[in-house]
Amino acid sequence: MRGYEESREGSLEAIVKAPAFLTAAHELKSPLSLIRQLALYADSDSASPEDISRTLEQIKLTSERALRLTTNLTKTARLSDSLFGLEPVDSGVICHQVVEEIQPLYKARGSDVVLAGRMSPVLCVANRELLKRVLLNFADNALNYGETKEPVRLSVVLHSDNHLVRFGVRDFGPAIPAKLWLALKRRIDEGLVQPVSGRPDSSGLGMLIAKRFAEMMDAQIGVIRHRNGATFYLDVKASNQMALL
Amino acid sequence: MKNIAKILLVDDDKWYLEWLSKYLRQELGCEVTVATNGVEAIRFMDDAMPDVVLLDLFMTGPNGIALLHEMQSYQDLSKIPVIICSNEIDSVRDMVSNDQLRTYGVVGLLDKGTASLADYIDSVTRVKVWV
Repeated sequence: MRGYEESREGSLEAIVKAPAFLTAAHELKSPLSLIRQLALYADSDSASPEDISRTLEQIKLTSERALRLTTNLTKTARLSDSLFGLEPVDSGVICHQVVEEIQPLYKARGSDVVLAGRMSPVLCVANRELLKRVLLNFADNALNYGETKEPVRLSVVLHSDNHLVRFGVRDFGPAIPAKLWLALKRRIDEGLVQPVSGRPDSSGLGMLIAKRFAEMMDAQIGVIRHRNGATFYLDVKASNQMALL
Repeated sequence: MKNIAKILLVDDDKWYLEWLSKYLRQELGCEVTVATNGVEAIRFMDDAMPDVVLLDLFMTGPNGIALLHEMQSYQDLSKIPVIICSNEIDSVRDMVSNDQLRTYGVVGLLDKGTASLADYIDSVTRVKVWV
């Protein structure tokens, strides 16, 4: 029993000292701090009925965002083949669901997210829930880092001789500086997070989670740099089931 | 000396800026301007010198530390008092000493996670501007 307790403490110590643990704590602290402040303001004499209504909506959307992150963290910790089976998934349906879920947050922030063109019924081999979470992650990221009024665009295309389905989330703003671009690529390739005090732009926790989810689906994430923004993409295997009909 | 008339809020969270700017305007009757990054903040300061800046250090893009450096490089901007508002006040204290903060014109620290609405008012009203 003592050996078990010692080994358990050692494991816990390793966990709390891991950079990702601190990063996750900070990423959760920000929305919780905002929720608290909004609640204080809504409760004050300074807030008009319109202010209160808008503030309550902001509290709801911020808490939903924080819950998405905590759920993603839990799922990342519990990833195993048996829990997340793969099946043919209609790409267009997933994209519609993602837009429907995150659009209220976009609208509340004065932005918009749209589907790029008509969604053909392209089937991919994925886990429905993990696929949706990766795309929500990308869309959440685009909301925070896109800088123009141009709507963020969600797209689906077949490529690599129709062997892969590429889901793309395109945001618009200034081009990512070269130094940040290289750091971002490194985070995606190596799954790195960085401590809060050293972050030039973000912690990379979202990318780490997206990468782990993608790996469970034998998929890959990546990013394309444009002169006016970036596209974060997820390449998933195309399903041959439609070809058999 | 005069009381605070112009406040500049610098933070990358638009909803935080929205409620705080409304609240300070209503409670203090001040002119409150918001900026979501250091570049916007400097641009505003070029046009209209604020009496005090409330600044989040850890922002996306050009962060608050870069802005503090930039302000110190101009004689007029270096005199503007700064109140740091952050969710990571412990990290700030680990990184820099109080003496170092003072050299950057920092006159106060507010922990966004625990500050009350009255704390924001107290911090700003304690700053007196020399004319």
